[in-house]
Amino acid sequence: MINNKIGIGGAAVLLALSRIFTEASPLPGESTEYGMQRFTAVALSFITAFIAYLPLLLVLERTGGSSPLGAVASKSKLLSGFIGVIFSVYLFFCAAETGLRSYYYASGTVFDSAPASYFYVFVGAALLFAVHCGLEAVSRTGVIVSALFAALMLLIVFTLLREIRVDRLYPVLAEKPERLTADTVREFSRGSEYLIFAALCGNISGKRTKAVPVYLGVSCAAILLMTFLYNTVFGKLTSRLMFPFYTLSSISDTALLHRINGIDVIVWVMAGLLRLALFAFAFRAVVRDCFLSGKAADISAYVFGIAALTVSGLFTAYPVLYEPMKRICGSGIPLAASAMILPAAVFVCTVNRKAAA
Amino acid sequence: MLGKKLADNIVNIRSYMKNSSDLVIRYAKVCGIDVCVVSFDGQTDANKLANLVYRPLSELDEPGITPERLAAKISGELLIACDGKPVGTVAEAVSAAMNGFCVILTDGTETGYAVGVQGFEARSVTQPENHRNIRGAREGFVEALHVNMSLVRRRVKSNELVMHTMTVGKTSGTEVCVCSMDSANSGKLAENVIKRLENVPVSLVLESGFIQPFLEDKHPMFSEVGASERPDVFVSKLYEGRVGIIIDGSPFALYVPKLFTENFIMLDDYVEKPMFSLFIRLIRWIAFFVSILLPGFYTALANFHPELIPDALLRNLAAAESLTPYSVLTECVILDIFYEIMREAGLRLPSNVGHAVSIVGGIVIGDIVVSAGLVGAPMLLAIAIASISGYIVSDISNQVSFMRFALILAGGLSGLFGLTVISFVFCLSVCSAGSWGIPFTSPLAPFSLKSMRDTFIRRSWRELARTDPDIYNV
Repeated sequence: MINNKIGIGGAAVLLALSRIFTEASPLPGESTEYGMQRFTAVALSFITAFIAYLPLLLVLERTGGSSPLGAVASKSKLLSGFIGVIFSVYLFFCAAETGLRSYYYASGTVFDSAPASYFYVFVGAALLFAVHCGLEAVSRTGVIVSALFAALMLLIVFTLLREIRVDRLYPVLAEKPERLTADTVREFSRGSEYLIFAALCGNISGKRTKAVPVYLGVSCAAILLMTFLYNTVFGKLTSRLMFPFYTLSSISDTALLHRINGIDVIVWVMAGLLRLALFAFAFRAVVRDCFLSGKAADISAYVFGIAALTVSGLFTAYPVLYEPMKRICGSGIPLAASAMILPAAVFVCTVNRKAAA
Repeated sequence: MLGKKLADNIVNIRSYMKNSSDLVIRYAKVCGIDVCVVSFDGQTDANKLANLVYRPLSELDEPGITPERLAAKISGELLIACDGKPVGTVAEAVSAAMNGFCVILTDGTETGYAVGVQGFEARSVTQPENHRNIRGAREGFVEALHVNMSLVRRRVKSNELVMHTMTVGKTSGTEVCVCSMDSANSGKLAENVIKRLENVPVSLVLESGFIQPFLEDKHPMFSEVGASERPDVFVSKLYEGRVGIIIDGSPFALYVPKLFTENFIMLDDYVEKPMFSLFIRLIRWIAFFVSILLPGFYTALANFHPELIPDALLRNLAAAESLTPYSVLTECVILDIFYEIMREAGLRLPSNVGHAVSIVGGIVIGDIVVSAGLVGAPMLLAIAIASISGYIVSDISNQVSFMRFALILAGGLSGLFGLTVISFVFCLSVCSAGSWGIPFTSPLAPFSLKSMRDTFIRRSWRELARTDPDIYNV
């Protein structure tokens, strides 16, 4: 396995693609509601996410280029082990959920009648290859996939210009605030890229704190644009669509291609694979910082990938297993807790180190 | 080491060469001292040897001269017009003789003198077979190293061009020239290349391809080492800060590092107006994607997702496919393999027979298989378009063929999903290459806006000339 550093741009693009993937591939029961409150919810969730990132960004300078977990581990193995376990469990769940999202997306669009095992074998093999190729290769692939996404977005916007009905928009504050809170929390809880950034920021070269505002800004803009298209093109029909973005690409009639949902499938299947690979790399970084070193940490990434997809397969077969985890993670509490525990631990450890010095 | 006795030296040389028949040793007496000239049959020019070596030696008349003085006179005054170097050992003497020198040994001295009288048969400079262009020089590299070095030097009459010759291959003793332009980055790169070449374990280096694997990463598909038959392209690569390697016996010069985007850039792009360069480069990119994706996409759509095909087209495709006995995947695989067989046959046969194979294969068999109802005409069209498009990026035609075949299988077996997963794997594979400190997919990924001035678009020379290109700043 190649272990390389990635640039700020590559990191921001990967994180943004990962975040937008969750928007384009909702799970059953996560359908997007028509309504102007979603614009506010998305904007608020990203502001909340930025606030959640702030402590980490502030303490990052104290780690001197290494990862925050590594800085904690150098001071206290017990504390880093505790945080490492929390991160590992959360990363594992997120990876399994990504597998599930990919499966539902594929089976709901182009993989309808094929058995789930076939899907997981294909995805598993590609994931193992991605882990083998290394973070740098994944980052470069992310740049290519994001360019494809940008092209898809442009094609959709231009071909659906005549379908956009602005009269479906109404004043933002015209709705009751209860749903706004629930929507904001749900959007915030989808931002598990925090874990990826926290684990992998030791692999980002340059001024790594810059990657966060770029990723948040790009993701927020893309999701707001997608919401705008859902609301103005579909109106109240939005909530009845399992994959509204896929439907948007299906009705985009281009002269040559007739419809562009084939490109949509390519983008989101690849984005799902990239997200899975990112979780595997993040897990490897956590293991390397907190538990094992060298080859064992590298192997852990492969094991993590296979295990996450196996659990994802179990979730597909027995959705009841997934529900409790979904409720916990969907509350946003684990994410918020991670965003507090890690910076606090880094702060405590680095303050002690400075005092000792 | 060479000894003072000429007879012993000759015995040692003969024994070293195991009495090889092409070893030529001519004896003479110059001013009363025994002298012999050692050379290899066919490596020297007889006229040069007669006029530049034998005649001056025979005309020398200084009675009473000592052997040391004679040797000094030969190397310092008599043969000064020739390329020469002293040799101190049997191995050095034989090595020089094998490279077209004649070695003059004088009785009573421990050093010989090698005189450059190279004159072996070589192909003259002609137009390159593979990298043809519309406007530009018609000169291509040939097999002789020194001719190739002169072709490069003629294009860069500057002290910035540095050439370093060395020998690679224990048995073949192939001469190799490492070329670079004198700059900080290419200097380090050249050192790195020389180090790698010194450690090449291959005994017999007959072609540039023999040392290429030792200059590249262990990437299974793509090579970060470029090859060119054109001195002008080679020089332009050096100018960008790359390091070039010319190998004796090969008309292909290598350069490192090579980027993926270079497969879509040709010399003609720089002599056309930028607008036309942009157009033709876009056509090349489209051709590349058409070549690898079209048959796989067609198979995936026809097998699994007919709803993605426009209605009118779908009706035509269904009508054509309904007349054939095989599945779409089988048809596609058979046709693609058939095309690869024809391509291989066309390449290996003499050019006039190769054309006949193309005509028989392409027109006669292609027409018959459709009219006999064995394959559908749309499938044949898809394979034909994909194959022709593949020729546009000829440097990576093998990779294109492999990817096309894998994508046909993926698309035919698991539809758009499988096609996407395999495309992802190929994408990762391309993105993981890059062993010389520069990512193979630069400047696309990682993206560099500055380098876009000469990637898809080609800015005008007025703008390109403002800054010197540097491969390390892509």
